[in-house]
Amino acid sequence: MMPPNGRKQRLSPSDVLSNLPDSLINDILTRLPLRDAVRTSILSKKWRYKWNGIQHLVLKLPMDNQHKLLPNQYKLPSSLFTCSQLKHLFLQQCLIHPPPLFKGFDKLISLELIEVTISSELLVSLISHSPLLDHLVLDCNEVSHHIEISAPKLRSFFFAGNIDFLHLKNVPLLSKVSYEPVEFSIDAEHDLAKIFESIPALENLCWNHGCLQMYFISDEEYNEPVPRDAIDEIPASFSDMTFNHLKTVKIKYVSGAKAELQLIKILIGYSCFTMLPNGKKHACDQSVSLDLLTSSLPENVIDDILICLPLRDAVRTSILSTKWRYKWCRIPQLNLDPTLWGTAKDVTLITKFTNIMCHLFASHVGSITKVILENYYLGDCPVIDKLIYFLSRNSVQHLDFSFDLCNPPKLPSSIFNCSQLMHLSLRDCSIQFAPPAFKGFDRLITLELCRITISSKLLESFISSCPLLDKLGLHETIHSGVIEINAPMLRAFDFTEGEGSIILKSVPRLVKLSLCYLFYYADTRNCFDSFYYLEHLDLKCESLKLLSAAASEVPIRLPFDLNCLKHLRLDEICFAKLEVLSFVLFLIRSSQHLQYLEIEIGHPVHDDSPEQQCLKLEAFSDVTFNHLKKVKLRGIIGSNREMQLIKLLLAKFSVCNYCFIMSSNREKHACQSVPLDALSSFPENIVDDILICLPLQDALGLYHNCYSDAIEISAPMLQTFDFIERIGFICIKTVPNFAKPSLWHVESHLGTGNCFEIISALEHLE
Amino acid sequence: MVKLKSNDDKEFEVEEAAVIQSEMIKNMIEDGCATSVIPLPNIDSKTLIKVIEYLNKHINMGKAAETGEEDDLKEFDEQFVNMGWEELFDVIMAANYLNIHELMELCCQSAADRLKNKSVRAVREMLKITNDLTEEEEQEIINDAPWAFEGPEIDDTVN
Repeated sequence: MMPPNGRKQRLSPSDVLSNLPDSLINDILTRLPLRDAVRTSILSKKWRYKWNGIQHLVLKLPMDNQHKLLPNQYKLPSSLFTCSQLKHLFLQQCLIHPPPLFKGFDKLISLELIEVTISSELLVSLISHSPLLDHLVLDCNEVSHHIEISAPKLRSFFFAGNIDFLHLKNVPLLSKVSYEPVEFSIDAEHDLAKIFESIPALENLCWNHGCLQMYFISDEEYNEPVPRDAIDEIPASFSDMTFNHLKTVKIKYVSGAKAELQLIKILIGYSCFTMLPNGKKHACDQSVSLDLLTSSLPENVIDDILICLPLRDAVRTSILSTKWRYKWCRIPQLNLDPTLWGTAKDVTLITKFTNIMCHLFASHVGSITKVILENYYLGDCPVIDKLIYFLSRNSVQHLDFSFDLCNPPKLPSSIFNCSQLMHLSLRDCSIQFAPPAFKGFDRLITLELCRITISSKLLESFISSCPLLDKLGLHETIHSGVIEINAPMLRAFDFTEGEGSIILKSVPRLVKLSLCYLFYYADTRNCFDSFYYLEHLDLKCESLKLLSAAASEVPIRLPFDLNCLKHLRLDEICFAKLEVLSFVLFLIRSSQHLQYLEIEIGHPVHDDSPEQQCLKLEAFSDVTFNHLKKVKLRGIIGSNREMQLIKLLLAKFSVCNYCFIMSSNREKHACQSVPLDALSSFPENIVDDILICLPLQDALGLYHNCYSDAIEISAPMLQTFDFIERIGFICIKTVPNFAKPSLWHVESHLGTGNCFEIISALEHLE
Repeated sequence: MVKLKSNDDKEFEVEEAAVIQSEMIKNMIEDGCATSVIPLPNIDSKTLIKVIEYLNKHINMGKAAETGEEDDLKEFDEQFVNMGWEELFDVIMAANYLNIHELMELCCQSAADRLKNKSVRAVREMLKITNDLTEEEEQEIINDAPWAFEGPEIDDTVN
């Protein structure tokens, strides 16, 4: 029995093919004979124009058995000229007669015309309207007029025909030229070199006179030597020529005509890298000015230099000379900063900005990969929408936009069309909605959002729709409530709390985490579950509360170990609060493989509290820091708890190879007297390098300290310094205000000259 | 050790760790083509010495970041690019040929810094460019993008 939906099922196979992506359909069509491909246009409405997208077209005229041409040339159908997507075209023995409006194929990369009949105007138009043309083969003896070839991307060129009619005008990348004349005679009148006016990138030249052999081989008069003078001078008109990349030149069957010899001479004279008899190259070099050097730099190098220039300067190069006129138009990176259109708030700003953008849209060619736009004071400006649309068509990969902090505009929805995006950074704007068709940025690797107004739902789906996301930064982003972050490939996450918070739901590969909570409201129960690979952890003030949720009730150790953690940085830690201190300790305790520890102490308070149980050595008996290399403590004022922590850390260090850095806080009142003598009980030979930074310290005493190797002191306000020799070396860096120093002994291994300055300022030296 | 030969037939020995900063030579070594002397037909000995100086200094780029020698390296880079235009272009060409990304970037940035905020006249003089535009053409270019040709910071001096 036939199922009731039988008809539907019968139809489905054809639907399957139509549902394939266009690129695949193109691929299939390309493999079909042209006739069959064209016939697909009648399949259905959907298929009507599909074949227009095909990119390869090979037309060869069938020959009969004796390899004789069929009597009439095939006239190409006019519909061929609607194939605007054509990339490769090979035509043989046919007659090209396009409709009047036809200009060329925009996307053509290779073009081969063998024995076709084509008018010279059309040929010129076809070539000049194919800006991407890379490969060109012309074998048409019937071209009867002078043609100029201007193809900025052309790299290889094969030509057969009467070369008198050829002129290579603008071919900056052409590196391979092959020439085989069909029927050709050289006479002295011809300026062969004129054909190659300038091919700066020419590497291989093949000049094959094979077919001339029969004309000249027995002809005595052609062996007559051409007078040297005639070829010795390089005509002035060729001073523009450069062949700095020329590697090989093959000239077969040189006839010895004057024009030909002159070409050889010029090729030799202007190419640096061809193998030459000694001395010759230098003789030519002297006449080559630096301008030639600039234009002889490969295009990619000139592009690299232009990228480094501010846009204004890059555009200004267009007036240097004709060669420079359009060089800037290809730069792939644009840095649009407000100095271009004015930094002050001004009514003409938008007009100025619009003018710049219009010039850009009109002039720029090729792809733009990276754009940085700092767009203050412009607010909602319709040109930005156009700009982003323009960029989306140029497959932009890297966008970095900053808008007005006081007046954040809406982000144009055209940004969702930039499907090639790999890096996106947005500051100060609001994202209202994504178009329904938006499926996510497939290739996005880094996403940085700063002060963005966005709905929680959109942000959440936005992040989870970027499957390759590797680095995520959310800074003071305004969204309501808490969002879950699901990012399977995420390795670095940087979060500064704004209005709204986050939960790290599924981030299995996270290596680097930086959290800065200001208000802290988040449900963080499962927060640390997936941090198996975490290597860098950077927490600030309130973020520590995060741990309290993760830890058990008695905060001794995290319920899991951070076994990969190497760098731990804690900012604005207030030791006065006991619970903060214990969080710090159990975080350190849970990270046995720690290599770098940095703690910045915030709100330091002198306290006379007794020794804390949790800071006692015995409490850490089960912990070793075998991997610790470097400890930085900043903002030390010498309170009991700080000193206890320092002693504890020193006692636990079992490896000597680390650096211990301390600096007192910027608040002067708090650091009148750092009891550095408290450190005098440091175990001997433990510290290799000590750097003490005391920005506002006016007195420093070091007595009987057993530092092993070297100590470096940097204290711009230091006035007195007492020091007893127990240390191998001491370097005093930046100590300009020595008023009453009482140095007993100084040994310096710093050759900075600082030392002498210090000594000369000394009044009391004991 | 890898041996390099300049186009004026001078040989230089460079540590492999230094020379593999060049993508080209790195590939050659990986393919086993670097057993004897590597000839560099487009680099003269003067330029090659500069390039080797750079390579040796930048041998441990990754380590420098950890040991705080970055400033030292920066200072070296600043000194390094302190050379004439022609020499700079020679080094750029060499870096391009050898495919040394960092050096390329350094030199291109230096070239750009020298051209930054310079007037048209100054740039033409620096790069020895002959102006072949007619006055009408010049005017046309300026009219197309007037914003590029005005500004107080444009400097007419050549240095």
